[in-house]
Amino acid sequence: MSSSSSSSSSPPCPKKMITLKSSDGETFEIEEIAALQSKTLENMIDENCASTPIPLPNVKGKILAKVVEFCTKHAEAGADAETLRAWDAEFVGVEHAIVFDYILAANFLEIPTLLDLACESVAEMIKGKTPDEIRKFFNINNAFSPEEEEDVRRQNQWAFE
Amino acid sequence: MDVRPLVRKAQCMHLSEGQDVRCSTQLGDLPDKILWHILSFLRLKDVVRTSTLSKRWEHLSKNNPRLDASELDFPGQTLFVNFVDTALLLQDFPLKRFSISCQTDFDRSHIDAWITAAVRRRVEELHVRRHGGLLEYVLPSCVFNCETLIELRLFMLHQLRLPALVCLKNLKVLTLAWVDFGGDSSVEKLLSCPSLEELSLIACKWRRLKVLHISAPKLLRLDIVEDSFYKNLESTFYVGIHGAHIESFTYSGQFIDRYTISSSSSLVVARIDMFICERPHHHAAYHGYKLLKDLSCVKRLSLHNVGEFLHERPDLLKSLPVFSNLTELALDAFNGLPLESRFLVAMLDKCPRLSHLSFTRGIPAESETVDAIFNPAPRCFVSSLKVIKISRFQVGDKALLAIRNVLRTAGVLEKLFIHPPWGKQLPESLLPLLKELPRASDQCEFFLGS
Repeated sequence: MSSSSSSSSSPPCPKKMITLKSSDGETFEIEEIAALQSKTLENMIDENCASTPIPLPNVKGKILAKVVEFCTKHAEAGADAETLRAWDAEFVGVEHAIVFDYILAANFLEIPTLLDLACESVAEMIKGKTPDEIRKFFNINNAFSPEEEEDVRRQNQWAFE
Repeated sequence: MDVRPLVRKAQCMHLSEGQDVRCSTQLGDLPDKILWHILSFLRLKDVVRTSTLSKRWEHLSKNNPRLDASELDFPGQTLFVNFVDTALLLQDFPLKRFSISCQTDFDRSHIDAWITAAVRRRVEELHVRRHGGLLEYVLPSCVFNCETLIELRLFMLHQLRLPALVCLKNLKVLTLAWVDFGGDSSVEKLLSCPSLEELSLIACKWRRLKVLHISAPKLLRLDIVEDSFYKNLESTFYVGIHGAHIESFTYSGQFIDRYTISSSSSLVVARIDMFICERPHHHAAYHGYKLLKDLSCVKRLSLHNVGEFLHERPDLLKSLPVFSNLTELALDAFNGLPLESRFLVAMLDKCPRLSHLSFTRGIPAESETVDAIFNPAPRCFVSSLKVIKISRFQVGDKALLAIRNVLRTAGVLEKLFIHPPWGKQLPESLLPLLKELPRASDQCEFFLGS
């Protein structure tokens, strides 16, 4: 039963569900109101492409499950800011490879709240570390020669003191 | 487009299952745009340090479309000026954000040059913070005609002098803090920008005007915080808010001024925070009441200390409007809102569809006989109230009596949340005690938090 494009002013009686399909074939159901936090999904819903499972080839099932959890939590009525902040902190308190996957998914699905949350948590991992510590932590290959590195340092010596 | 993540994944897929290879996403797999977004949460020192991580990071640093520089980040003024000069004046690529924070009075030609350069580089977000300094500072007029500007935040204790022509057709977000609007209403040109969606006025000085009109046609969100030290109690100043689409309104102040929201049927959420002061303005209660009338269409409402102001005015309480769309109400008072509060009773009577009720600072009951409370029960208790949240709950006989009264009357209650004050725990005996109380709703669940 497909409804003609009705505005969201009708009473929220039966919750409208959207189905999402991950890159590895898993399907997930999400309430439409929660899905609207993703600009990408919002556009698709507006254009009425939301009746069949929406394929998301860039997002693995493991990550999509968590993204659905995030959007559902943030769409809850009566949520107070303190509890939500604590929940968010726990959500990104996982190994950083997973946080990077959240970032990529939030970027692709255009979910600004998740993108900001995940990016800020990565910034927290960088904060206060020396360049050596950052390289080790994030597995960054240093392609500088010692002279080149010294050169870059000298340009902004004040930041390394 | 950065194809590295795809290449990496493709490489992973070619490896046989027996091999133990780390396939997880690395920081370096993220595209430049996202790495810049991550850097935007860091202070300048940390951002600059990343320039030595690798050649790619040096490139990211040099081409960062956001420049957030504060004089406090630098050990000296010369280094500060040199750094911003290099980053801003010697580059040409479009700038997404320029945020500058100055503490002292130095040659204003530097700031002028920087802001002009930012505008020339098609800046989208401009934040200017000017703390201290005695010299008056007037922004270059090109700021007010910058067609790329989407967000403007000014934190300056100075008078805003606007040029004759103000044309910010893409400005969506505007914050003015501590700004003095002066004596002529030219500031209204800023407050009526055609694309403006979010407006914050924080501790601005505006009482040299008699009237202020905020008429941005696309305004969605308005936040006003009054300067608690700026009194001038004599004049009642009138603020007219005209915007057919406004959805969110928050106000913090003493209601010295009269606020009117002309077409408020689009409002969804509102919050009013009244400052506690020894001698409230004699019109404060009336102004507060008038504003509540304009907010009668909201779905979610948060009121802090409003009850204290209206407590002494039963005449106004009687004429409170009906909040026919209100489903969520949060109440707070300086020492907790007593259940006998006339305001509470009057308010609940006017919310026929209330489904979520929060007490953010507990619910003391003051008088000895609490049986008269909620008797008769407000309409919404019987037919629509589903969730009650009590935060910072202090256990005591009267508090339990209050809960008993609520449970006795709330016929469709589904959930009761109780949280103790920060750092404290609720006693173990509370839950069994609650379960024994007579309840009007047999589907009510208790959630006791920590």
